[in-house]
Amino acid sequence: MMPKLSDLRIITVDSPTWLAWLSPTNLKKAFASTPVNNALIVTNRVLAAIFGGYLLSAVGCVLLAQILPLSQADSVLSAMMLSFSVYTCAVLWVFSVKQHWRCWFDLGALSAGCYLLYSAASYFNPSAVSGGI
Amino acid sequence: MMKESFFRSMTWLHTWVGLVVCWILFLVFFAGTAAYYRAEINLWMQPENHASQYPQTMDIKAQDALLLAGLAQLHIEAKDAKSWWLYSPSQRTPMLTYAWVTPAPEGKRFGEFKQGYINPQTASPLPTTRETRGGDFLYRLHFDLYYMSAITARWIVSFCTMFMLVAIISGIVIHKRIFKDFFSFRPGKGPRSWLDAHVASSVLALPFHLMITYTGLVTLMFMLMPWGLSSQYGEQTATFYNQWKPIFNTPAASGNTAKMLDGQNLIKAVRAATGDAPLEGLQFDHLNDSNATITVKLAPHHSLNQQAPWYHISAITGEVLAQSAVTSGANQTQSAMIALHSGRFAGQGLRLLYLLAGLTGCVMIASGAIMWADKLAQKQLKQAKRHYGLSLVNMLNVATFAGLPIALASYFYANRLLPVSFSEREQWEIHCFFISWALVALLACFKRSKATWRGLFLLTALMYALLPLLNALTSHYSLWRNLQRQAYVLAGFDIMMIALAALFYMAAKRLRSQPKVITAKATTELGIGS
Repeated sequence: MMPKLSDLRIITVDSPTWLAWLSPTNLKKAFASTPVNNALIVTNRVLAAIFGGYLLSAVGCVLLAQILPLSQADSVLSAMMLSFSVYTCAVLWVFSVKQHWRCWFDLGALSAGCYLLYSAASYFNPSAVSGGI
Repeated sequence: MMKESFFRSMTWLHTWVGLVVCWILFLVFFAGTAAYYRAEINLWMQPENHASQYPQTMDIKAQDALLLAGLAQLHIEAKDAKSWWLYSPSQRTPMLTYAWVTPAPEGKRFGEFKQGYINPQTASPLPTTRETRGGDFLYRLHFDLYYMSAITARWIVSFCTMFMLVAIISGIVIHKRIFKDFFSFRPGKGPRSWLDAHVASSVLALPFHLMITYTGLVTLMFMLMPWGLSSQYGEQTATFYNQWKPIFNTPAASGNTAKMLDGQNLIKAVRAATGDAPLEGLQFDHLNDSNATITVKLAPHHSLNQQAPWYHISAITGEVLAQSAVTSGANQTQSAMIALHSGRFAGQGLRLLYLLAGLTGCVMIASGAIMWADKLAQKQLKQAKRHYGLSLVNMLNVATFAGLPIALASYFYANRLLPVSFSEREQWEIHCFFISWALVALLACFKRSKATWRGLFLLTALMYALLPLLNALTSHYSLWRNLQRQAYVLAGFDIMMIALAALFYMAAKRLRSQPKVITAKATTELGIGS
């Protein structure tokens, strides 16, 4: 159940309201298994899987297209073909991590890491945009 | 809901991901499976072409004479076209196809695509065919749906495909005893039987399901995942496409008119390059321009590598402008994936396996959804509570799984029963498909009992069983006559319809013989199987 006003009153006896609201017991209550909470958790994971997963596979695709040791056109083709595997793994990951808010963090960190790697790789090995074979 | 253990969360994922998209996926599987017989359906739906048969022997001289006949016909019918096509006859399409695009009318980007056919045995044109989309409609329905823009449809289908991939992988994860369960089928035990049916159909064709889903995404990857391409090539994607598919990189029109070689010399120029190899087809671009080019495609082998040799030949001078080279590994991998998905390389034996695997996919999706409804119905029985989600799922199950086979049969009936002169005939054949589907959906809003399923299956069986009769009445060639003259493509279609009818009849019969274990109180919402 979401914390009720009556719950707050009990804890606010000797601490400021906002702090009390963040007390461990209240937090536990707030994230307890209720239909509303579960629906939010599921929605959160679904959004993370669809959009976070797409973000990771898109950045992964960009990274692979840059670093695969193939010709430019081949790297692009291979990266595109592989990106759907990345997407699948990302979705499975989102639905298997225990804390539901962590999936955003994980996907975001991985995407940022991929992007950094891509930037570094293209800095040291800039490929001409109209590249040769 | 969000379970602690990995396995339980995967079970949850499998159930819900599967359920949410299963009806669209069923449509995609259904249309895709039918599209493996696109050429055969095309032929059946053009009774005007039924007289045409692939000759016993087809040497180079005969092929060239046919191409010449096609060119002559194009000179008569399509003098002012910008592009021409000629496709050699094959076992599956036993006539030479000549096609062209009419000049674009004012304010439109493209003209109309038209085609005609030539009988390979007589080298004379066949009568004008009725307007029909034939099997091409089913092929397009598979990824472009209908009544909406192709791009929207492709995003919807891709989204469901991605879900399907997730459902398959999570399904494998939750299924620890994959082989043991495969050999245990317990019929007549309600949800347990549906689970067995679901598992058996999934595992039996698992490699196919994985392959078809992944390669399906690869067919649309330039729309779904263009980021690798745009990050590497920026605005200059044309450079990439020219490296990837140089066959499409024909010289642009110069704007200066020039006189093309006559038919004899064109064929001579083509043969100078290709030798005696059998041709799949010719494409003529920028007709009567000084850059008029013929793209010659050789017939591909029955192998996964569908990259058959090709040539660009000038239609003015007859010299070879460009020709195919050995392509890179990534390029061949990608085209092999497309070939695996479309099955274009498959002979009739492998094609039959494709059909069976596709049908198994349909059974997998349908049994999964019915199992979900069945389990909930059992729960509801205990709680004596009405569940609206269950009504909705049952309604969609009846409408989709029983409705689509009826819609397809109606499409075939419309092909033969709509008058040839009917205006917008092509569209109305397709409308008939959707109207009959909508009628079943309407019925499903009110009736979803086991008797409804049985009645619909019996109707489906009857419709398919009568199709060979309809063919005998509306074409000059009945099943018997087709068998006699060894026209196996047409005979095969009729036999397939009889087999489908038998399948649906057996399903209907099974539904009747199952013991009734449910009390009258809840039967309205229980669908089948309990």
